[in-house]
Amino acid sequence: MANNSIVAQDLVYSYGDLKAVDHISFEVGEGEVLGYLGPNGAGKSTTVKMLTGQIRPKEGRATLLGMDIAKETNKVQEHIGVAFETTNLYEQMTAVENLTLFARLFGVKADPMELLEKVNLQTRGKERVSNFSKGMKQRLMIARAMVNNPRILFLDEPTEGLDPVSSESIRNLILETSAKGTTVFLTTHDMYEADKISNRVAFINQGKIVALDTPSRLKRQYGQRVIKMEIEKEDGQIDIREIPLDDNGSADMVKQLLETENVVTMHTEEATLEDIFIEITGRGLV
Amino acid sequence: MNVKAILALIQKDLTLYFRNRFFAFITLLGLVAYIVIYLLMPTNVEEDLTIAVYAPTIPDIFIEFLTGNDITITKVDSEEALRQGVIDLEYPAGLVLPGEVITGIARGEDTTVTIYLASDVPEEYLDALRTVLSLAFNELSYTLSGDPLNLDIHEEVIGPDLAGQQLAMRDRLLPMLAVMVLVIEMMGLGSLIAEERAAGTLPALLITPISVSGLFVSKAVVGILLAFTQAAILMLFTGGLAYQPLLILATLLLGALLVTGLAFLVASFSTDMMSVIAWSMLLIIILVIPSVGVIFPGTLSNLARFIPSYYLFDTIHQVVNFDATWGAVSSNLVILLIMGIALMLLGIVVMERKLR
Repeated sequence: MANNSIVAQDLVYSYGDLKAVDHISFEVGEGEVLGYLGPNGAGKSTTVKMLTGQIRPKEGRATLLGMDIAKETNKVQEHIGVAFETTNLYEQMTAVENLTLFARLFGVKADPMELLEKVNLQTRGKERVSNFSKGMKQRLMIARAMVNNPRILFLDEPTEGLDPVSSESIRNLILETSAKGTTVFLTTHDMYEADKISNRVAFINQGKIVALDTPSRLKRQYGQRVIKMEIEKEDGQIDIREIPLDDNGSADMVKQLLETENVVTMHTEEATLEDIFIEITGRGLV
Repeated sequence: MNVKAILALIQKDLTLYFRNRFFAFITLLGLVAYIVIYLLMPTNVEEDLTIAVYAPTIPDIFIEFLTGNDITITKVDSEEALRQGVIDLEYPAGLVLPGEVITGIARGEDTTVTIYLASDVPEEYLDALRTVLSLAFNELSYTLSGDPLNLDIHEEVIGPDLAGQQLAMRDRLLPMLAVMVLVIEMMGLGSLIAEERAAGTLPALLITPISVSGLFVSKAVVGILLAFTQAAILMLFTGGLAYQPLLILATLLLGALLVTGLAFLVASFSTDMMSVIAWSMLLIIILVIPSVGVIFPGTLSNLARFIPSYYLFDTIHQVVNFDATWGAVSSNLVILLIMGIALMLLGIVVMERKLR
């Protein structure tokens, strides 16, 4: 990417003796969606807190839109939007009141109904947030994060605990936003989501970035492509065979099995991001 | 500092405050209740002349004269019992007439009698008592010796001398009611802040361009506004603004500053509304202690001066009940201002540490 919206250089943050973020560096280009993946406690939220000016790095430097977040915090914050992992809305206020408040805090004129329309809440604008379901609150959080038309959007587990339809609508919204040039920093441990909407993904484990690339390159680098076949034996038992796609003689093996065995199903399989994460770190994501 | 953003936060806090049914109800109920309590209290002080008398022998003519002048007499068995009765405010005054006094009067000798007076006996009462007693002793002297009496009345005040400062109970209560309105507000603001922390909305505010100081300014304005407005309404309806309205309003403003600082401290120690209430109750009990000195004069230890609200009670009491001027209470106002600012800064520092 030609213009980097986010540049993190050697960021370090520790809570007492515990190093939550340990010398991490990366760049995120304008309009890019970066999936920031890691298990609980890996340092994802601490990274976001440093990048959004909630805490100051103990070492290193982060610039957003060319401005040092530690030195020009308020200036940077005018151009970013943050949707937190846990809902933190004013529950005794309506959706419109929540959005209007934040528009006033940012000093911008935003149309709350237009924002609510983006997240399919236009009919619930005058209802108090306390009556909303979790999915509705999550969508309202994203609408709130977009109230200042941010150039960088930080989304922390935006689809966590949502039904598939709500999750899909939020993913579409992220893609639409990114297509308009907004940089999206997506923190998640949902590998499927990261794979589907991220231009690049970064794996963070124990405070360090252990891999950073596009999902397809990571799969090529670390994963193994196989053909998986289910074969029914004479006694009715199902036998599963996996044939590596990239080996010499794979085609012959497939041909032979098709001719000699009763192949019930056959499909290709590639490594998931989760498989790759486990391969790199030796641990799962949850 | 972004004034528009601060105004938005103030509007938000006021909206949330009055949407919290508990606090909206408590605020309204408290205000009405305090005004009703004030109005239900007696408006007049007790003006009947009552006197306790210790006299082993007391001539009937003396008693008849006093009762004939609407003085109620209670006989007691000893001088010690009479003194204790006056200290305990059972009688406003006690007269000691030992046998030798009666003998002296009968002989036409110069005579001294002792009257014990309670500390809050009003001047008018004393004047009336002196007059009636002089007449009664003269009557007794003419009867016993045929000569006018040369009488010296020795007055001894038991407890602090507050003669001339008699106040109706409602007037004594008014400073306490005003301070109660202010300190109760500590709970309201404390809860607003603690709830923001619990709901996680403070981080959401802090990633907007509003600064931490802007956030505290908005909270302080809300706290001062709520506390001050309610106390001012109370004073308005109870006549507390009749004499020195500006001075009273300034005092209430300083009081509101004081309790807002305390509310920040309470909020920083609390995680939810229940813990805010628990901490606030503890502070309220301490803060209300100095009111005892106004309701029951002479009963307050000097240690109470270490309680910040002492200067609030004392100033309101002096101004509302004794028409004190700016000059008379200036030292109180300065102490209140210093304490208010100090508590506010301390509250902000502690709260900021918690937020970080």
